[in-house]
Amino acid sequence: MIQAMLSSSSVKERLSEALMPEKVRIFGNFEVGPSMFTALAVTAFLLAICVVLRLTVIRKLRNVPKKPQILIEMIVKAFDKLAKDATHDLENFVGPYVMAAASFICVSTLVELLGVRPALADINTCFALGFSTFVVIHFFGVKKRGLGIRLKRMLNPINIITDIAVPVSLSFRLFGSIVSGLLIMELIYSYIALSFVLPVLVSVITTLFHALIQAYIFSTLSSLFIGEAVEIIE
Amino acid sequence: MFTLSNQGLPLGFNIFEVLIHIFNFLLLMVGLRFLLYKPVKKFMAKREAEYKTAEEEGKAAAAEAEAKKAEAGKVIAEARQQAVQMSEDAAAAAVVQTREIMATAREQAKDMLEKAKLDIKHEQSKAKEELLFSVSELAVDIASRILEREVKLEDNDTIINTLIEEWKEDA
Repeated sequence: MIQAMLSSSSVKERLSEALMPEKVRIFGNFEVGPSMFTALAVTAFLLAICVVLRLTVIRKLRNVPKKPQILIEMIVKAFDKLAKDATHDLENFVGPYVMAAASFICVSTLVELLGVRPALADINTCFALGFSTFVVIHFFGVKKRGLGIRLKRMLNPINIITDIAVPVSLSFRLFGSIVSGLLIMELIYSYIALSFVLPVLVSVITTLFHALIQAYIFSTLSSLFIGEAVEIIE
Repeated sequence: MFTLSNQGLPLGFNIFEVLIHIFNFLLLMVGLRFLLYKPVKKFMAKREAEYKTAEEEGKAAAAEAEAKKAEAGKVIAEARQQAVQMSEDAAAAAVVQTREIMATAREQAKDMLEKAKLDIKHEQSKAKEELLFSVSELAVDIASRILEREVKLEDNDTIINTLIEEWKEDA
């Protein structure tokens, strides 16, 4: 049945379009994917929420908190603990970093429920996140352990491969998960017979779970890799 | 098959898009840090410090209260001991005082007894003298009646004295 579905030309086109959407031309000849707009919109949305929270809840923080304050404190505490457990003393940078990554991954995946193309269905977005983690890992690795030790580590070719594998694995894991979910949803929507009830169940698995799981995996792995890089071996 | 490249690079990889995404992500991270993460963390740290201070103050107050309680207990024990001592001293003083009072009373009673004895003696001798005088007078009167003449008191005295002398001799 799946082979029959995939062999249909309209489905092929639809999947091809989902995987490689048409670029949008902005500023003359400069072209960007539609995920770029989603990414910018998600960032704007998250920053707007932050501004609203800063002006409302955070401005009136109390020693005996109410429900919104409890939720905010819980989120901040969770990321702070994650960063502190992994890096010990870099939680002031790594905490907001993993929090930003997790919230971006989560929200930019959840927008698929609104019919918008997820930002992470684009390799550029995923690679940007993976590369950011790569830079942070090496920045703090050099800062904490010194350039000499970091360079000495490169004498072993396996370490070079391991270091290069980090952004690649982070990016492609994310990209693969989100795109696979997107493609499954596209397949389901391509057939009228499958578009009743089933999308409700599948969208929960491919979108809602993906959003939370990928956010958790990315933030955990990022903090672990950074922690590993700054770890001082006695 | 599906098209995996529409620009030459596989999967539509574009370095400029990556840079824009990195900048976008950096912007989000900075925004999150300064608008949400930092103020909330600062507040939580401040609250934790306040609770820690309050806990330490509570512990210090409890320790102080415990010390004061122990001190008060000590004072109470001392006071009890003092009270017992004072009670014992008072009892001993009362015994001494009682003894003194009793001794004084006995002394006074003795004096009073002595005085009473002296008074009795004095009264006795006085009564004796009065009796003697009365007897003398009676005797004189009786003698006068028997002799049918007046007997003077000096005569009577002479007779009585003579009689007394005889009795004394007989005795």
